[in-house]
Amino acid sequence: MLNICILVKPIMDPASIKWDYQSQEFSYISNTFNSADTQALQWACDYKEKNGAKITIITAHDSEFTIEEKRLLKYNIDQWIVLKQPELKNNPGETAQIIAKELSGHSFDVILTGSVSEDKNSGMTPAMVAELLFIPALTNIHHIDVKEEGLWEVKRSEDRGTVQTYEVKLPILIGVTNTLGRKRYIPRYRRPPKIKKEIRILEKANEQLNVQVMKMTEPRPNIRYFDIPKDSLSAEERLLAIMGLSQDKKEQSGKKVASEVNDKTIHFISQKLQKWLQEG
Amino acid sequence: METNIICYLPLKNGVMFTEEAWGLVEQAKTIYPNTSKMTAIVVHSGIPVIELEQLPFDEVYHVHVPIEQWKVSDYHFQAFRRICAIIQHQKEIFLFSSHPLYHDVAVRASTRLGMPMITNALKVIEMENQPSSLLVKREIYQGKANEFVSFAPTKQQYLTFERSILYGRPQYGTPSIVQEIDIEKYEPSPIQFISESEIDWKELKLTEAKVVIGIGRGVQDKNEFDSIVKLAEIVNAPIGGSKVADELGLIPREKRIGASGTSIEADIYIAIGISGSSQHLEGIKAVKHVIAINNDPSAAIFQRCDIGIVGNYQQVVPRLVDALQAERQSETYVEHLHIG
Ligand SMILES: Cc1cc2nc3c(=O)[nH]c(=O)nc-3n(C[C@H](O)[C@H](O)[C@H](O)COP(=O)(O)OP(=O)(O)OC[C@H]3O[C@@H](n4cnc5c(N)ncnc54)[C@H](O)[C@@H]3O)c2cc1C
Repeated sequence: MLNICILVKPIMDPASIKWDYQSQEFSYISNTFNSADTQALQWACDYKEKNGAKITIITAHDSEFTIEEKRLLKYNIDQWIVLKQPELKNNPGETAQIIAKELSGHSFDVILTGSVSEDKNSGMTPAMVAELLFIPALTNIHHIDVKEEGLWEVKRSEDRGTVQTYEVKLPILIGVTNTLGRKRYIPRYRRPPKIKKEIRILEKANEQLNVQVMKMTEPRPNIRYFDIPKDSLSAEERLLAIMGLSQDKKEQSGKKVASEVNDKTIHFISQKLQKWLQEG
Repeated sequence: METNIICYLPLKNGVMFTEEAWGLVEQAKTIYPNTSKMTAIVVHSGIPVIELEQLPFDEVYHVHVPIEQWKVSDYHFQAFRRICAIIQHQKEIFLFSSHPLYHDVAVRASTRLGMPMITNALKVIEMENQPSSLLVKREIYQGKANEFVSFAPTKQQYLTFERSILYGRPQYGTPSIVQEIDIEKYEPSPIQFISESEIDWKELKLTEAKVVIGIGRGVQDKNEFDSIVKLAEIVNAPIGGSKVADELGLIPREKRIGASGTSIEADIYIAIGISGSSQHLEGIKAVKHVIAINNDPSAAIFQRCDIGIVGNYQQVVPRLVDALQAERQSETYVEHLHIG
């Protein structure tokens, strides 16, 4: 029976976050768990339903951060290890360190987690944990086939549209993408009779930070530009032009929207399309 | 103090420099432009030496690995470590693409040596008042904010760049050293590359595709639907659509794009007969380029598009298909000429 470990990161829900222009910082409404991590968890629970497995979750978060435990307890897990450390979020790399330290005391067949977290977008934790444990890692996996317990076939789509298939021997750390499976909002798993929960309160790391956040800013605003209407237009025409409703052919020419279907416009679109296709 | 800027050049299939590699070169040249030495690391599976001798670097170190191994970052990491043992300097900054193959190498190397790393950089500038320190801009919270981070002064630093900004033109130079490093034996990896395949547009998920076609109420009559399918085939794009398209049965439920459907991150979105409701636009927020075809010039989709065409899709799409097909044919013709 496989002994699976899932690393689940509690985060501020990016969907609920707003930039507060006055205080120049985030205001946010709710916490959640990194969605690729919960995809990995869902995959493991599905696997457990069919084949049996032992599932342990490890979450690591700032001591002050409150998490919605219920959301994770809906899954059919056996054990939950919570690592809490003051000011963890300000210290990139520390999360991987404390997780690896915890993991070195266990022997899991496979460690599953999301390849990247939606909050910090760094993608470092998975490969870092693996390196600290001296086990191999493969990230950006969107499909897993268990051929034998110790031999898996996984797929990675690294450039969009092409898929690479790898065969991996366990133990390994696998980073998955959001597209590993279809997300179910109400997991329909049998609840295990008892989940063993362990909480470890860790001391603040006293190492000096080697990467420091200097500032945070709002995203660049999306500026859409329109042609400035010519003076010769009447007030009504100008208003229509500003609203993007101008039907005037001369006004339209050179704009991003062509009002006539002719060879020239078709050629332009097909050329642009080809250029953009080659860009990626 | 001289900084050695070391670029781990990304390649296509181990044998070709692409815009991504040249983009990395361009980025490298903007970092400490006056006080640095430029070194290239090329782990490849068959690039002719003559190409390596023309790279715009002071020094080039390369390792040849068979293609099956080239696809596995474990072997890159081993090659990287061997090369690094040769090129130790006072101060070094290693630059990588954030492609998963190289990202994993960068993370492992920085972890093994306990050196700082910043990933997915969008922009790198020298800090005001501290010209020897870099300020790196990166996106966080799915683009809801940016953060600016900097390295503490350490001997080595690791930086990966977001792939979307790595785009450049070929550059040439005359390196003073071009050295091949021969690695006799690799530690075998428990990860084995099996195969690579192109996904057919019919199987491609909306979230994975580079190009997505969206259809709306405007195509409900289904005349000329074939040409939309042909367009999908040419640009290898799955077909999704609006809520209305889903309700009309033009597309399956899981192909709905928008607030109550899927959010896509394609490079190109071609919206056909879609008005561009706010709920629909919600789902294409992350798309880089939008092409809109709609017969109503006041349709909201035109406010979001990069190129739009006001016209009946039944006329526009077949002509676009013809134009693209003609282009493709001439491309293959040229290729044949070269071969012949
Ligand atoms: C709670 C809620 C959630 C919703 N979620 C979503 C969602 O996730 N995704 C979504 O898409 N919608 C969603 N909607 C619906 C949304 O409000 C719009 O009704 C819908 O997007 C409109 O779809 P459409 O653009 O296909 O149709 P329409 O708005 O009817 O537009 C059709 C367009 O086709 C053009 N057209 C007609 N004939 C032609 C032709 N021959 N050639 C070219 N163009 C032509 C017309 O000019 C028109 O602009 C939601 C609505 C609600 C209330």
